[in-house]
Parts: sequence; C-alpha cells; structure tokens
Amino acid sequence: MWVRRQWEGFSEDGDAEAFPPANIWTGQKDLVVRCEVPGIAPEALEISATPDVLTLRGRREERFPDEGEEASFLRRERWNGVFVRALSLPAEIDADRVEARVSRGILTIRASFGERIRPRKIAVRS
Amino acid sequence: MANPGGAPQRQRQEETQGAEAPPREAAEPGGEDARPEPAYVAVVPATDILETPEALLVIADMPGTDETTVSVTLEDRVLTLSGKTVPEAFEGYVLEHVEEEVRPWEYRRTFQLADAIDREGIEASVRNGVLRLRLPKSREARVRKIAVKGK
Repeated sequence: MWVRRQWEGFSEDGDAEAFPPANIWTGQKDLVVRCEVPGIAPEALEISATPDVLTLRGRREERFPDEGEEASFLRRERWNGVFVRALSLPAEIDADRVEARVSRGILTIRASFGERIRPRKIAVRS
Repeated sequence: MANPGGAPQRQRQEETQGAEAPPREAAEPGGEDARPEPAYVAVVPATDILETPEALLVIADMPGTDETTVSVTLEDRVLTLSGKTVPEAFEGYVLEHVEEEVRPWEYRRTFQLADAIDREGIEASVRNGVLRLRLPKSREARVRKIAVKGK
C-alpha cells in the first residue's frame, strides 16, 4: 500500500517546480492533463497554451475574516500563495482547442492534437 | 519561478492541541452491496489547524471529495476526517506521465483535541475539494483571561 503525503510536492529540495503534481494521458486525438488544485476557484486559475507547453498559474490565500485577529496556527501544512508550472507536453497540441474544467479541486485539461501531428502507427519491418 | 509560500509555523501548544492521534481501526465495509468496493489507498491530507479564543478551525485539502463523500466524527475528543475519491479513468488513453495516484484513495486523518467541543455548534463544509470545520469550544474550555498583577 502506498501512502502518499500530499504536501511533499513542494519541499525545499528543488522540487517546487513540480507543483501541483500532474498526470498526463494521451489518446488518439487529444491529451488529458489532470492535477489537484484544492481550494482554488476557477477564476483564480490561469492556463495558457503553446503547441508544446501548458502553463498553469494559480493562487490560493486563506483568510479568516469571521474570526478576527486572534486566530493562530497550531498546525500549518497546506500551501498558501501562488504557483506557476510549465508542463512540457508529450505531443504537439492545437493551442486553440484546449478545454479546462475544475471540479472538487481537480483541474482537468483536454487539448486536441495539432492537425499534422496525429500519432501515426509505424509498421516495423523485420 | 514562484514557489508556494507558508513555512510551517510550529507552536509550542502543537504537542497537545491538534496532535495527531493513532488511527482507529477502520470499520469493515459491510452491507448487502453486490459490487465489491474498490481497494482504497490511504492518503494523509495536508491540514491546517487554527485556534481562536472561541473555536478550533480545521482545514484539510481533500481534492476529489465533496460533501457526499466526506465524513467527520468526533468521539472522546478524537476528531477523525475521512473522504474517498475515485479518480476519473480515461478509457482508451495511455498514461504518459504520472506524478500522482491513479488508484482510488481515501483521505484519512485523526487528531487529538485538547479542548472540549460544543458538538451542537460544529460547522462543516466541503468546497473545491477542501474540508473546513469550525469546532466551537464548549463553555468550560473557552480561554479565560488571567489578570497578571505587577508588584
């Protein structure tokens, strides 16, 4: 059983660029990127696309207006602030055909491949 | 390249207040459901705990969950948070690059609370995959200002 501690992704050992963690799936016509962005509303996310790279920017700031000035942290593990991540894509996409949606703190991006770059099966001769 | 901020702030009270309790035995999933439940990988959610004179605030990152898949229990001052999620499976796609779990997982964490809580006043909500709890302290547990007299 693999127990993953979620906040290890932004430790100080230079791993900060790989935040938020993302998975990439490729299909026949498009690719899908999935990453976790808990507590970030769609309007706080910025996604820009070139044929090779998806750049994700987001910000999250906790405030406790209802609790006044007297709230103090007993435990602080969640990240706070901004992140920027440039994801190199395994195949060229059409930057005009990218869709993104956020649900339950998970960002799912679908990007269609560029027209001339549809993966083609290559026959292997012996 | 911007980094997320927030160096952890350790307070002396952290040892007693908001200290992690050993996990309780998970209840065996029972019931008449014909379809077997998928095996859930255990994940510990990143959690902030704050204290005000009136209440404890607990905020846990549990992306993939909503109010129907999260449960919170408080028993003998042990607070247990849990939430299950089954990540979307992209049939017909090849997983090219993996940095996070693809199997179904369950967030689970327990905390030992130092203060007695007024159960009737507990507020809980899940939004954008974040669980937020406000646990009002019971009357007896509210901080009382202690007058410090000088010489």
